[in-house]
Amino acid sequence: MQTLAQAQACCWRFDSAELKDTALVEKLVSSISREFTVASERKRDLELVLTEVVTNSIDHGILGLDSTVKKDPIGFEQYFISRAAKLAELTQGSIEISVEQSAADCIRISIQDSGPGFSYPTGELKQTPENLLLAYGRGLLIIQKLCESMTHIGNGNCVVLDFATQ
Amino acid sequence: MGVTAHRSENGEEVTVTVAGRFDYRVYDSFKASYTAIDNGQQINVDLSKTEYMDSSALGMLLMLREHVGKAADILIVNPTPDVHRVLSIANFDKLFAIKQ
Repeated sequence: MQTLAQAQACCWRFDSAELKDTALVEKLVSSISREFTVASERKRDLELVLTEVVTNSIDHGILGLDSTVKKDPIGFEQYFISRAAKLAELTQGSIEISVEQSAADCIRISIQDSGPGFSYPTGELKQTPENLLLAYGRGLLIIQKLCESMTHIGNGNCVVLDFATQ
Repeated sequence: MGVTAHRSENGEEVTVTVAGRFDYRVYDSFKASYTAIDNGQQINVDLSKTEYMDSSALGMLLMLREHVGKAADILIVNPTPDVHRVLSIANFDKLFAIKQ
């Protein structure tokens, strides 16, 4: 994990080998907590939000799992198996996360992956009976609920979150 | 910590307990916990010792549901407040019976 110093912002970059590390998000939460004040009762939510956003970037941005699922709907077991296989073979791809203080009690987290982009749903997400059983999409619901705002920019490979730290 | 499975004395119920983290890291042990479950058995997923749960755990619960199909009933037991909140966000109370 490489920390890049920027004016008023901190940036971390994870390469393909680091994306395979299951403790990546825990390390990131520790790093963010060293640079920014995050109330202890918000750290669990920060970990959850970062887990979901990093998982989305890996699964859909870098591994391209959503296109596989859309083409040929698969079960959950198959989803997990193909995710593990694709991740193990990964030799390229990276994620960059930058964090800045956007208000006294709020940080802005930007996550950009090296993938070709992903067509994210727009507007308020709802869990309808039809999409309750989709292999993906629950992570976005969690992010939306636990963050002040979530915006996808560019071609969908960059997401910006406002997260309350108090 | 981790996933354990316990069969009731009369053999009618299997309780799968996830202690600590419920995420990708327990995928193999979670899957192994229910593969030996017979048709018609009641499955309890005890989340009273679960400290953390993310959408990968939601996926694993759906994987369990997919595995047992209509052959067994699944009951989620005593989720901790943090875990219950994640279940509610994903509307899992509409998919699973949850007992507090």
